[in-house]
Amino acid sequence: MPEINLYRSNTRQTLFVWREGLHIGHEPIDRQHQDIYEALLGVSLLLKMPDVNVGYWLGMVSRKVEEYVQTHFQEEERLMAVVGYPDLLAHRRTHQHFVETFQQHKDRIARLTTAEEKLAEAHGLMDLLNGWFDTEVLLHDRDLVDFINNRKT
Amino acid sequence: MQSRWHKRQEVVLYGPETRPAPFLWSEELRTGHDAIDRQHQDLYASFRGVSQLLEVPEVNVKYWFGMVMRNTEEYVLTHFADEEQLMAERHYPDHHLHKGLHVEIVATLHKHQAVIKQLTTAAEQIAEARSLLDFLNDWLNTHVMVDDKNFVEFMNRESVHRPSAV
Repeated sequence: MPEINLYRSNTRQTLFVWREGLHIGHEPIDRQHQDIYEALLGVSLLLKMPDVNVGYWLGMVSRKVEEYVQTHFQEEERLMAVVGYPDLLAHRRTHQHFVETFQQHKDRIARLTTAEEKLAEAHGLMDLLNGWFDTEVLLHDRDLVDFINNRKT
Repeated sequence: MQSRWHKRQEVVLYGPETRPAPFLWSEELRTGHDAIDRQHQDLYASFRGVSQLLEVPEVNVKYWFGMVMRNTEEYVLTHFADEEQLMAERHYPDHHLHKGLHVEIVATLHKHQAVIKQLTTAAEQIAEARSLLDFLNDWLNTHVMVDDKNFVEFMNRESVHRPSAV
């Protein structure tokens, strides 16, 4: 499994823009990826707008990410086990690391008291999420789908 | 004594020059009941978000509009039910009239959603979504500033006579 770390993305760009390169060729996985990208694109744009209710939109990010962890991660890990994917444990560790890192950020934001501090931290969180999702989709998930496709041939 | 309710239709909240940005929360929307105000703030944030995203070309309008409508359903199930339960508990005289407004707005939302589902182009969906959001903005401002405030004022007046009430 590639060890490249793309955690930090370029904050000058619009985050979570879906592009063809993110299609990995597995329809259910692609659909779930597109769904989370759409939700996080919208929130990252809203966080740049005036008078944004940071708490409300961070709550939505939290619900979407937790729903994604519950469904997507579990389905992907089940698929890896079914097809005998050799990097299952390494891939599962990236999922666990993500869950822990996300929770740490949520806890840090919950301790902040002013809207300005929460907004600054929210931008940091969206930047981190964007880097993580790009890495996960472009490297880890694509590696899994390539393995499945090679196995068929 | 004539109910405050009957004066509702005559209320004009804003002239065109004083109309605030759509779904922008302001202190004048605060009813003074913390739980109701928190739920209102969430609803305003959600609708404000979608009305802003309608203007952004990169965004998938159908996705966001669908999501906000699902949130609205959730809101209807919790906020309206909470409010109606509180009205019943406090024997609010305009309880059934207020509940009627909730029923009416839910029916209107369903009707608009059905129309939007049948539209095929993004431009048509955006136009219909804008029209619904304009309507909702006016409805919600009136509902919060008049109907909900009337109810909270009623609760506050009653609390004076029943100091143990929450």
